[in-house]
Amino acid sequence: MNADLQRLTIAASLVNEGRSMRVGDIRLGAEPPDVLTVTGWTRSSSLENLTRTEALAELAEIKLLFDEMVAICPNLLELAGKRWVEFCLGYDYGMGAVGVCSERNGIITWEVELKK
Amino acid sequence: MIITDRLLSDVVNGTPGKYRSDIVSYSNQYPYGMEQPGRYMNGSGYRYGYNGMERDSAVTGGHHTTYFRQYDARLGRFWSTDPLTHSWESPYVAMGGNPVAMVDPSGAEPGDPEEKEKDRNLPQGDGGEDVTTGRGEEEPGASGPGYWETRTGVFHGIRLPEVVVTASYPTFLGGLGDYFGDQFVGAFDLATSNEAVDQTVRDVGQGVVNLGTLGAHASVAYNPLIPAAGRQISQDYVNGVTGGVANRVMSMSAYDWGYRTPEIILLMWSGYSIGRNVYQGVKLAGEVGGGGMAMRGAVASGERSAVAAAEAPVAAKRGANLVDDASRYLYHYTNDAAARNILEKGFQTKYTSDGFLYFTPKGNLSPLQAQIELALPANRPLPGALLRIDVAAMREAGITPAIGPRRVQGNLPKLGVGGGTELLFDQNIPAQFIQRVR
Repeated sequence: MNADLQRLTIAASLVNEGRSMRVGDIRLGAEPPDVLTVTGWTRSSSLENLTRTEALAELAEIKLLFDEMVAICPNLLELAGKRWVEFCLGYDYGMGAVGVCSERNGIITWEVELKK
Repeated sequence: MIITDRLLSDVVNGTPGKYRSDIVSYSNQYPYGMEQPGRYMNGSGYRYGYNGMERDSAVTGGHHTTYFRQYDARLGRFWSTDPLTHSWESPYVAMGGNPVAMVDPSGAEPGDPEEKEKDRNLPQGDGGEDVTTGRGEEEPGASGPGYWETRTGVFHGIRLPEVVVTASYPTFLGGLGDYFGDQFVGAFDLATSNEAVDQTVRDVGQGVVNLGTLGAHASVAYNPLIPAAGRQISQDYVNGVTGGVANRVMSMSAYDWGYRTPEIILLMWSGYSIGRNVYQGVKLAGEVGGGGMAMRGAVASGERSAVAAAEAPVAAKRGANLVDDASRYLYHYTNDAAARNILEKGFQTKYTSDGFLYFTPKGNLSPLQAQIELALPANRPLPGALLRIDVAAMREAGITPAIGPRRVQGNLPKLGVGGGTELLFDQNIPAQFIQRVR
């Protein structure tokens, strides 16, 4: 088992227990009752300069990354099959992070007002 | 040049003729202590160097370990900020920028060499002399007015009239830590070993109980303490303020702290200021987690320099931490755009990179200070917005920190960032508990 797969397997196990784990550039977490959160963070240093287009592109990157993870980790695939998967894009400022947008079941929810 | 007591005799015709000194080390140094190439010798592993600081050549050629900080003689600067900062100079400045006239062997405050000589004995301590001189009597066996014996961890206390300072087990002690909002908190920010260590400070005069939590690293404990005493209690008259008045902090070296933690830690001697200020109705009591370890501090009241007597009650052991017991508010530094979002949506952990939200008891940091002390990312706007969360209300709602308090360790080694205190929450915090104060 390579290191990536091992880490993903551990992450899947932790998420199954309701905890979270960061894997690479995303964090896999759980929200009760049955949501698997996949969170990534914008590269924009300022929230005010971030546009909706950029945010959606970054959200798509998160989804792509998660797809790659699922492809190599059967446990994660199994977990994703049992739960709602919510993709989240956050803006991390050090002491915490605020949400930019999230997608669940194809529906985008905007947490902040961004430029078009 | 370091010369031992040992004398080497030159034997002439079978009888000693003269004696030569036994030189163990010498060095020619540049003004800030860096050794001049080829002009030094250390033949017997002598450990000390510039200013009497302990050399640590394992790190760099000019690295020195002082009592509170690491000093780099190559740069002529300390690696971390001064526990006693001044508005007129950088907190990294060494020897006040005047290495010819000043020394700073402890890393806390530069001064005249003769005055600072006693700093070298800090672990043995000179604490308490102001309050005790002429008023107290030494415990049998004490070799000074009062100190913690680092080897044994026993406090050789001063017996003031009706005031006893005792501790059978080394531990911390107490005093005024910081000023949060409208309340004084005996927040010592010392230690954070795995076990909870509490310090309780009871201000009987005001009927206010101020509690603090001990935390982890002795070397950083100086930070919140001294400024508190120096800045917030600058008046000559303080009524009903929690005692301790943290003027004196004594600790072991970083080495000792790391490897001999059970023996002793910090002593914040409560007496120092009493000699020059008047404290009325001040009582200090503390019990440290684990039980059985108590330090009861001096109490002062009445006229200037008069040490009143009142044995402080040993407060009940509290297993709680700073948030649970002491501070009503915690603070969160962020930028304006994020603050607006937080005020509307609350804090949400699902967007964070590690599942935690970070808060600090300090609500008086400037944006730049916050960025440095809390090791915030440098590639983000300065955290000009300050949010305050109502800890008491949150506690009632069942939201308590998952981790804390702990010292912020900077993620940029050797650049001196970090040093603040933070508490981590792993639960969402609804907007109703959040208020923007800046």
